[in-house]
Amino acid sequence: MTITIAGKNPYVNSIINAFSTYGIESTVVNQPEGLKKLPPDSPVLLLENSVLDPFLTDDSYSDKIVSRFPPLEPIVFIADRVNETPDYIYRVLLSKAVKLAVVKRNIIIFGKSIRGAKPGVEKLYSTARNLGVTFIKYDHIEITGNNDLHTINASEGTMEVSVTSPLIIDTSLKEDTTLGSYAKALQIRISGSNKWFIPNAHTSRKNVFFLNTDTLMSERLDDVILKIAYEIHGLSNGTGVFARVNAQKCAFCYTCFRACPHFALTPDKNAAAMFVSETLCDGCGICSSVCPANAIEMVGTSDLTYDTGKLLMLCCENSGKVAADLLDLNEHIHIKSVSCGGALKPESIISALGKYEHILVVVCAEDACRHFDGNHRARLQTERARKAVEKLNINPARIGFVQISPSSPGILKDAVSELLNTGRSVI
Amino acid sequence: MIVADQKPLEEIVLSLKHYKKILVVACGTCVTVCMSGGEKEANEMASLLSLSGDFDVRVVTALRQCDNEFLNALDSDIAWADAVLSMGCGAGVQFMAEHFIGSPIVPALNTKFIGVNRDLGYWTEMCQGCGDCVLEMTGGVCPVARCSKSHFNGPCGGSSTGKCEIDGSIDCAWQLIYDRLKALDQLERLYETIPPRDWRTSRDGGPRTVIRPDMRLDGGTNE
Repeated sequence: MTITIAGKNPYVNSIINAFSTYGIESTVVNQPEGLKKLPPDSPVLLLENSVLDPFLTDDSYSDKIVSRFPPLEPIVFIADRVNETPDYIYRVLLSKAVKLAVVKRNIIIFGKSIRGAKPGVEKLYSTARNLGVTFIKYDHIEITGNNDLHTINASEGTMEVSVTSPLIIDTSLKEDTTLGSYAKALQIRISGSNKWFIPNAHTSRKNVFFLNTDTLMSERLDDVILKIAYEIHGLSNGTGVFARVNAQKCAFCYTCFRACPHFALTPDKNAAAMFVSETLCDGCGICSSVCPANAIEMVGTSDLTYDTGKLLMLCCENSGKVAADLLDLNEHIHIKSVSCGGALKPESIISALGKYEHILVVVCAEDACRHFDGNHRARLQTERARKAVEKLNINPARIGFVQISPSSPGILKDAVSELLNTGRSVI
Repeated sequence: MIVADQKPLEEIVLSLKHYKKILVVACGTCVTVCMSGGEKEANEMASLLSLSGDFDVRVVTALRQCDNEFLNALDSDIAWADAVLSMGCGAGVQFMAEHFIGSPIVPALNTKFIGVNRDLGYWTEMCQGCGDCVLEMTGGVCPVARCSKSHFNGPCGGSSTGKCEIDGSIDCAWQLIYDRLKALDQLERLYETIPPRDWRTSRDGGPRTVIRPDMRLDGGTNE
């Protein structure tokens, strides 16, 4: 078993050693072209190199800087300044804030939103709060002053705050452009406002892993390598649910190839049909829903069939289904689960409308789809279905749409009540 | 490929109002690829017609509605139906109508153009089938199909910053031709005047026929 390591990073030798203890050999690639020649399901690790202010990632460096200032001087962190700070960097920021607050430093964090309830962040957030870290929300921010003393003027609506501090840490990510070209060579998908990776250790391709040694936080390098090694060994096992192309029906139109978020479909030129790598397929069903020839079936799932009732919730199994299961629903409200919102076709929604008074499509929150754009696709397909039924003089508001997190059954409950009580769609 | 677009649903429903049993026939070639009349769209259409409550609906797919052999396979379904809703292009609809004399064939699509798929869900017109290709002279950009006025010797006065006066979203074909010839280092070709065309090779000559005499055992008559 071999993994290809791409990108420069000071820890590359430690990473190679760690992989070898798990029976995985490493080859290092220094040019994006080297990745293009690899078989599509060959494991690759992309390494990102120092993109954050070292104050956030290097404790000895930050300690040295902090020791120059008297304890009561505020240390200011600014998030969301250029773009929204991704959650994983926000975690790094919070973790650094906590470390400094523990040693009685006065910490202020400016951000355009407070992520107190975000999964993976909430614990750090409450710890920081308890240690006296101040969070300030802003719409506009202006920084003036010189290298010795900065003045931060922030405002939100009519509220204005002014803080002076000798030390400001910006959490903006400095783009590692080299890495971008590696990602492009591998056709890694970009996710919403984030970049093309899910930090430590997934990307849109099941066989391509990503590691930023800057943002490892409490996860030790060895632990992450172990996790990746485990996944590499399990790659050939697949997920149990995977797409299968009927080569006879396939129009070889490349629609699935273009839509697949996991790069699991490759053209089989001999068969003049697409071929699914079961290793890379994540079972989302997006290919099957977009295929204009109906040539892709999802092995391990069954077709949607409908009973009759008052309301049918068509739920993404990762969000809507989890939240819906937490609700106390009456017998007229039914739930059907799909592997991803992106697996829904307008036809599924329209057919269901023949059996139920109302349909509610329930998918993941913005930027939370593990298949990248399944939630967005579900929204578009829902809109298509609504427009079509309206032409038949059927009230399109019978079809609702809501995006939620799996831990927000309350929002789902409200959406259900609104749809049932007012007939207005929740969108 | 031939690119088509679905007709407004209300127009389709109106065309079918005198019939009960509807056979929706998808076409497995061009209109599948351009996402207007393949099996997926046919199933969606069927679910909508069923939902309207006025129809019994069946769906079948002909790999190509423009070849007899694929239509022969539809005989039993056609016999069941009061009317056929063809999801094929204009050629498919007409060929079905020719093939199934006793069955009303209703079009579900508006056939638009011969074009290319630029990206997922995005097609543009490239060819009008004029029957006398000049692409060799114009850097591979068609002045017939891609110039709104089909100009043959340079742009009109409505070309502005590379866009067409008909619609600002349309690239001026003559700007594209210039750019392409420049990239090929063949700008001098713009001095060659393209003479007036004989449009009988196009629609002006009436409906056209292509015959391969070597494949015609009757020697090349079109009977």
